[in-house]
Amino acid sequence: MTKTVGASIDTGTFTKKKSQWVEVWGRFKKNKGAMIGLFVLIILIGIALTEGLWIPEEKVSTIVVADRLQHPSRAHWFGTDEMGRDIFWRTLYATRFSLTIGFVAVVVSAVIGIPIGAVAGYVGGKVESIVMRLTDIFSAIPTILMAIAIVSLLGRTTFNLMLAVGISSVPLFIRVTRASVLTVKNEEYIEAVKALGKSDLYIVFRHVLPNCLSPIIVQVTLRIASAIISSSSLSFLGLGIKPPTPEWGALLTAGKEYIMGYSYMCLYPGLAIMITVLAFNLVGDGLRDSLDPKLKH
Amino acid sequence: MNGTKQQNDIVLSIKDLTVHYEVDGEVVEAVNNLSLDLREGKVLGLVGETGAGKTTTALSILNLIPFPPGKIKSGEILLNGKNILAMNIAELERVRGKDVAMIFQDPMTSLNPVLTVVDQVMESILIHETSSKVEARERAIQMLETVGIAAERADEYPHQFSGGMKQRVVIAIALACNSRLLLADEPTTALDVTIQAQVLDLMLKLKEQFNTSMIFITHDLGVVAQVCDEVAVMYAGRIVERGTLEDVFNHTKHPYTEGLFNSLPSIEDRTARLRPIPGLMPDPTQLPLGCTFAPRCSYATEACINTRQTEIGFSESHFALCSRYAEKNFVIDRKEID
Amino acid sequence: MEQPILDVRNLRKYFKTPRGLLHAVDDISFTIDHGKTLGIVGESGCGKSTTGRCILRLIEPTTGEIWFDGENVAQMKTRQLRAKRLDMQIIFQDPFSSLNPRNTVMQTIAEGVRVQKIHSTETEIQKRVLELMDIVGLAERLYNSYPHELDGGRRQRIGIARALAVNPKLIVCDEPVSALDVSIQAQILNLLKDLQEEMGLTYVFITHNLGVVNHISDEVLVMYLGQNVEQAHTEEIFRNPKHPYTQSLFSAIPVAKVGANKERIIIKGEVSSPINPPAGCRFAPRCQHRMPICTQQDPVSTEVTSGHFVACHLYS
Repeated sequence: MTKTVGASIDTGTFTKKKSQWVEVWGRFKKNKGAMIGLFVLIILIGIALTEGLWIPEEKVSTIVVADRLQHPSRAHWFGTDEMGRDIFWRTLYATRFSLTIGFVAVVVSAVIGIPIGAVAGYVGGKVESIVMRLTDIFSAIPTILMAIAIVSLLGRTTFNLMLAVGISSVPLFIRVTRASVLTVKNEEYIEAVKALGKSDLYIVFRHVLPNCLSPIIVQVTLRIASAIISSSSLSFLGLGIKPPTPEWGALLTAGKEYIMGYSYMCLYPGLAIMITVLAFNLVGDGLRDSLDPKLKH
Repeated sequence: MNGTKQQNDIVLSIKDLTVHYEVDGEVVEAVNNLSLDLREGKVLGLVGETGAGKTTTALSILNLIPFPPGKIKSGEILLNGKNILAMNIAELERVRGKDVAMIFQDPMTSLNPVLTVVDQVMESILIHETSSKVEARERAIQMLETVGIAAERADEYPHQFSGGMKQRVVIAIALACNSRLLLADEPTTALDVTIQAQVLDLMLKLKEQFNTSMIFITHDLGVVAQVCDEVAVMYAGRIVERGTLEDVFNHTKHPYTEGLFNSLPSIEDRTARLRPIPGLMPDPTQLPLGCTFAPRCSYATEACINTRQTEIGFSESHFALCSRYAEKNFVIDRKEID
Repeated sequence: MEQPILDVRNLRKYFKTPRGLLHAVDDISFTIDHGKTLGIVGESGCGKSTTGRCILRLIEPTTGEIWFDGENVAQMKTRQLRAKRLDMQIIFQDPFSSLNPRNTVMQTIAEGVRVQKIHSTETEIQKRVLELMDIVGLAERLYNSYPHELDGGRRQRIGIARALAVNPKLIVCDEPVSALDVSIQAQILNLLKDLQEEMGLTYVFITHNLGVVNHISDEVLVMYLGQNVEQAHTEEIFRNPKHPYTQSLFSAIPVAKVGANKERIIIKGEVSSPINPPAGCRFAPRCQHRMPICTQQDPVSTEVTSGHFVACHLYS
């Protein structure tokens, strides 16, 4: 452990305070599974960000009827679909859509869920009871059913899909945030800040929420994974992204009709989903362990 | 030099025990070259501050040091003449709870919340003795009554008891098999003073009744004065002073022991300024080569810091780990009490 | 006669629980003079911590008056209260949970400095933080350390510096040394005494450690199940405890001296439930001097000798 070196009072500058994230990273690094997950994620995100630059548009969308339904070969690594499009390129290209859906959906649920959970936990009393009972009712509806309702209500667009998936996991964020706010708000340092005459709003944002971050961050990574699955399921049910836009769930849907003779059409997008979800889960688990304050001491 | 009678008298004998924890390539020297003897029916107070190695010592006696990271590097622990550190799992299981029992600090967490108290006492009896359930239950209830819990309450669950009562149950479990040796790790620290007085009183009575030997781990010198016959003061993994209660309290030799006494508010002169020991306990991964207390010791010389200390005897029972006593006229400030 | 800095009158705090009304603090009154220390002693659950928090209104008292510096804190509106609270600070028992684990020493202390609004520039704030660190004996190099890198004693010093940052007049010390080892405990006690002398602070010192209370307090209040059973000058109460509970409590303290623990009064039984307590003396079920009146009528606090108050039927 490096010791912090204080600087002289005359200069008015001090050694930069070291971030706690450095320590978290130190512990995270030791977790092999999490590191593999992180490596996979970086590659996936890299693909998603840069795919427009190096994946030729025509490889993804050009229809060559002559090449339809080919088994994997040297020319078409993952084979081709019913319209003769190369599945390898389409699966690769779908990374951007699927990841975006995952991220945006989680941002939606976090942005709605965290403040509600924080208020419910901090204020307590009747507000808490009402919020939590509503949350219970809300989460009694199956995720997919909820998403189907939202998508059919608002229309079948990519954004609505993300919204639907996001909204359906809001209860989770409310619960996680409330639970950790409840433990943090009874800590004595919160009382100490109250004794300094600070307002509740300041206390929640400056002291309570930062100490609730660990479980929330873990939840975020895990929810991205399940948002990808949910959106894939919706696409599979025909409520998600409209073909021919490549998205893993949509690719699966397209493949399901040919599953008997040409199962590779489902296999590769399915594998892509599996690998991504696994990577997020590995990273999520790794974060849970490395953010655990009990290991800090 | 001792007759056979004296030899048989010894319930526990620890010789040169060294326990290290290895974490992230760093070695925490939790216990170093610790030796002590405990005779039948005696209570030994193991005194020291947080991190001195008291609990590690107790866990070693049960051979319960978590491995990894803990590792018993050397030494032997003879319980009734048999070396615990050389035993296999089956032998250890017979010894634990039967020959040596342990009481933990927190009565709240050392009882199983889903079993009634009588079941938990019975469990301990049934594991170690071949007796029928009916007999065991009878004995368990008897045991609970001995520690002051009415038979009507025997079928209640731990959450229905207060902290003091739970600690009584824990004591009943520990004593159910007539262990010759009881390890009590801060058994009254979590209790209020009036309840502490009750529990200490009970422990002393039971000790008389069963002739149990006890190692009483505590940081409270007041409790030591009340229950112990012998005292060993630990600092940074070593015993720095040991002797009878009178030796250590009235004829204090080691500067650390003196520092502990000086840190306590005096009852006679209540406004007298406290004289705390300056500084902090050394980092257990980087213990000084010589005396571990030297950096905080007002009597330390250059030699104390650099050379290994050897134990100096003052009487048959009284020893201190301080090489300043090699000098003829060396005395510490604390007055001797007759 | 000088007006006391703190005058608490008939303070009560009841908590609603599913099983009934929990009388955490039940009619406590006391005064403290400027620059003095009042020790509040009692066993766990006797309401001493609740009393301390009620003074700062970190817990809202059910009824009662809290006159601090000539103003009734119990009646104040939120805004007024926030300003007044700066004159009253609190130090906690647990050096782990009393510091935000994500804030450095500097950030924690600076929070108090900023509230004061005397120091406006960052350099001034830094200077003040370092000054406070120096006052409580924290080395300058710890400026950017996090609480988990420090030991209990140092963490407790940070808590003290945070409280001092706003130049309070009164500090409620809630078991500030109970979680510390004796040698560190002595360091902190000395520090608190020095600070009191230099800054003229007034302390409400809450503890279960009678040795510590004897050392630091001018006046001692003994609580049992939310009630004030005895109050007197420290020397008087230790020399001459009147209430049977005080007597047994004091005799139960283990003294670090060979042969000092021979005659002890061991009280039987356990503290009864504070939920819907029956009429009469709360200590009566455990009391060896119990009389019929004890379970029928609440004892009234009476002055037995000058400044020595006891709430016990033996003396009324």
